[in-house]
Amino acid sequence: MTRYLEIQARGVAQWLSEPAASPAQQVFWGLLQMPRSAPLVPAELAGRFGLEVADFSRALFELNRGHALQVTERARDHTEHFVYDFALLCADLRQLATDTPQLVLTCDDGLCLAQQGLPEDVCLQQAALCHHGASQEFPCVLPLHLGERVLRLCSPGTIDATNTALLRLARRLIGLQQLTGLDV
Amino acid sequence: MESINDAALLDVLGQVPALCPDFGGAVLATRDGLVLAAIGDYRGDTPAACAASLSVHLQDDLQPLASGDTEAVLNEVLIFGDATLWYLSRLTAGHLLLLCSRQTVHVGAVRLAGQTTAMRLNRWLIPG
Repeated sequence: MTRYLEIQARGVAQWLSEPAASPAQQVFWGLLQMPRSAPLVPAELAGRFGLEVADFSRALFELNRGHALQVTERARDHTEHFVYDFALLCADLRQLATDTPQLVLTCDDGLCLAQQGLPEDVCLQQAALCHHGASQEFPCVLPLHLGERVLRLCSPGTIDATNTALLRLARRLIGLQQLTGLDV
Repeated sequence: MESINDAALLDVLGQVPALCPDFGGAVLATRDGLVLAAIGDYRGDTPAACAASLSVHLQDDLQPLASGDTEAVLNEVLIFGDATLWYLSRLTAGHLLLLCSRQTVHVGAVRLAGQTTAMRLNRWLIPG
């Protein structure tokens, strides 16, 4: 029976916070970009990600141990999550903000991409500040390394790394980059 | 003579409202202010003429501040109004993209929408 790899929201905070360098990061990043759950065929996936089968297997173990990956019996289609629409991105951010009322998502130029619960002046200021790391008012900064771009999710409180909206948010941002037809 | 694929340009511009928060309008203009494609509130001749005029005047006005003998090239410009944000970008062959967003908070989203659209439009524009 075919089994499938299903990445989990928890992996976003864990494996996208730095540029993809280790095999585990490469595998997570590769799986994240796939519109459907990947069938667990190690030799094929290892080749696809440019890894030896042994390294690929170790990476899977590491991802699974960190709850960034589950092996399931049913494939899931995530195509709709790759649709970038600003309104949908805001909806993801709203869902992510259930634990913390204020969130800012900043671009790699320090400009506000989307925000939740902030007045305009605070939003613009914090977006610029968080571009350089955590600020006093927004101590929680989660970098998202999405190919060439590094976006940052910033909050005065904690960000729920297990919230599935985080995974959707990452996929939507990949979808935006895919619109240009360039490799992400 | 090669011709520009108008339908393709309009198709790319047609996706801007989904990318840009509080979208107002968008126009793709030639460097001398003629409309190649336009959507939203920017249909008609005026926005294209404004884009060309803005580009020329900003470039001329900033030229004295350019270092040494270099030319002041404006690839991207963001202009903040009271409740309006404009994004102006120079594309292949000097064509211009002007976007309008009726808000000023999500600046990064407007810039990303502009950059993404510019890259996609460039594929259909013929180099000068």
